Amino acid sequence: MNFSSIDLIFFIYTFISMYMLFLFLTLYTGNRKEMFGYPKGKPEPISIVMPCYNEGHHIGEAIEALLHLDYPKEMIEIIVVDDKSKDNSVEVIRKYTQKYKNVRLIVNSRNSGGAAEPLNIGIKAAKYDYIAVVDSDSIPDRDSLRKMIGFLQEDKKVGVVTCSILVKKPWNLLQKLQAYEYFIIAFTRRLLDLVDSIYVTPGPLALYRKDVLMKVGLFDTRNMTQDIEMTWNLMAHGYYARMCLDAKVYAASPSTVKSWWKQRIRWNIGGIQTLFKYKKQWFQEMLGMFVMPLFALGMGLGVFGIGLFAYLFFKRIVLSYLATKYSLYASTTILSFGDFTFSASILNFFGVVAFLLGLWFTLFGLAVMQANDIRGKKNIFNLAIYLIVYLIVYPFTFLTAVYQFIRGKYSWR
Amino acid sequence: MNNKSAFWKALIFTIVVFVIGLLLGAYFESQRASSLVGVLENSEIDLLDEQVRTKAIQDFNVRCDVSKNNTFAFADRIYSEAETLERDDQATKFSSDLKVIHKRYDLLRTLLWTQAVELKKQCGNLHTVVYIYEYNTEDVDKQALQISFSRLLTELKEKHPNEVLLIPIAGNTGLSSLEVVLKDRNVSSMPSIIIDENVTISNIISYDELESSILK
Repeated sequence: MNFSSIDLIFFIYTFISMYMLFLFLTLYTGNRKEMFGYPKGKPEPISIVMPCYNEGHHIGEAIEALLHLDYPKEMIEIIVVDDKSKDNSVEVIRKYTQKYKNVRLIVNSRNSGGAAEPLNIGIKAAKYDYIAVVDSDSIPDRDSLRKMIGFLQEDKKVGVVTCSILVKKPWNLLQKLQAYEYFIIAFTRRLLDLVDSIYVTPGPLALYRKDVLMKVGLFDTRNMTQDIEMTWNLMAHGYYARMCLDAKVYAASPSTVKSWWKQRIRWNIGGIQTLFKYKKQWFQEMLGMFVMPLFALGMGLGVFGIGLFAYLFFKRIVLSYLATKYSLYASTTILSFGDFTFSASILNFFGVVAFLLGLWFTLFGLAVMQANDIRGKKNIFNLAIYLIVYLIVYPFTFLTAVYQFIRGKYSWR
Repeated sequence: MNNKSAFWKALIFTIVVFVIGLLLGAYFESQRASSLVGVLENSEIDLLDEQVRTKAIQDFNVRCDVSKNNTFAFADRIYSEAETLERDDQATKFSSDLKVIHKRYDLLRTLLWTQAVELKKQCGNLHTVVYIYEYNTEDVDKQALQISFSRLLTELKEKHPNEVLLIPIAGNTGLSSLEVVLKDRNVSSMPSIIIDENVTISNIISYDELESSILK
């Protein structure tokens, strides 16, 4: 054996990556016919809680979308909780409360700085047994609640149902890249659902049982990602999360690199906070046996891969620099034919196979979504940018998040 | 389908794929080593042929230029074989065959060196430049120095193909015969260049300095 420690690390990295791919593949092949299925439920009253902060531009459109849901009007109440907005959000909302009886406005007495507190206020004020949480810049598909409610009615142990979160009107490159990301996330989330391992039911649209939310203590106001924390909280209390792939909500996505960067750092910090909060759950039940390791690996593997690549790359740079320096001193050639010749090792083959499998899985996931009319237009250029640039840049947000988390300097907005 | 069984299925599938990959890797490496063994065996025969030829110069008055040309051609060939060996060796993860082959090549090149010294005594008009390098070094600075030495010597060889006999030998493969020679020549560090068994260079020098120290 001629293995260095770097080789061994690379092998472990490749093994874990391949394992996850094969797990997803196994889950898909055994359940491909049920991927887009959902239990047929009957409409029951739902309170929709929407937190709002400085969303004057979007809130009207969001309320309109809720008012036009394909759901009995008398079974819906919309509670908008304003978190002391500084813009005209309250005026916009008031227009709807005056026009529609089932639209209510609650103005928080202070700006809480996050979504959790307004949500908790709205949940406590809700009349009905089912609570739909919706972001104030999200637009659910008309039939989304109809498709989702059956999961809660079918099984009392289901505490929350999530759906396909898609990018609302992606117009620039960054948003189009996020659109690819969201498709793959939705696809893999459905696969994780098959093993009771959904690790987040995101804010744009999730349907909860009110009694369960009250029982687990509502959303954690100190967490940067209250949706991840709530999902883990439910799991820790023995409840499941379910994913309705066929139900869709269109969420606003960051349109600038700066806002994207900030959002991802918040997500990562929230993830780290949640990992710490539930540290006693490690290796217990599905949460500790799979969800937490998966979540930690999901955050760490990318960084690990980039770190490994950076180490080898910089080592090569240093070697080239020194060799060039010595060659210049010796007044000899600084490049020779031998510098471009290369014998591939077994590790190179494993790396290529792992990369190709990852690429195939991404394309396959997009194809599955497209086949069910969820995906947008094809664009090979955007896809290539997504695979090469976007996924490589992403781990750096985690590194920044870790740095900010250690320094303790972070906030929701 | 019991979805929880997917964890085990995926694990078994991954292990199977990995084991197949490892077996294939080991197979390809052994194939690579086998092809090099074939090349090495031919070179060993050629060196024996060379030894007989040197003897023939003495016993049958064979012309020096014929023998010299053959020696240079042989040295060039094992030099290019050695380059292939170095590349393959770096890419080998399982098999230890290439280490043995490397050692045999180093022995062959040490023999070629002694053979060249003998030829030089009889025919003159040739320079031996022996490049002693460290095999599989992890030291980045040393790796860079060796790359630079290698480029320097390749350039020298290209400019003087019929005067300079270049013989690269790994100095740390445990060959006792080589160790004796290196000790005798006071070669204590690698990489080093031994010119005509007299001058030893261990620090980076310019091409002109190297050339002048050989063709003085």
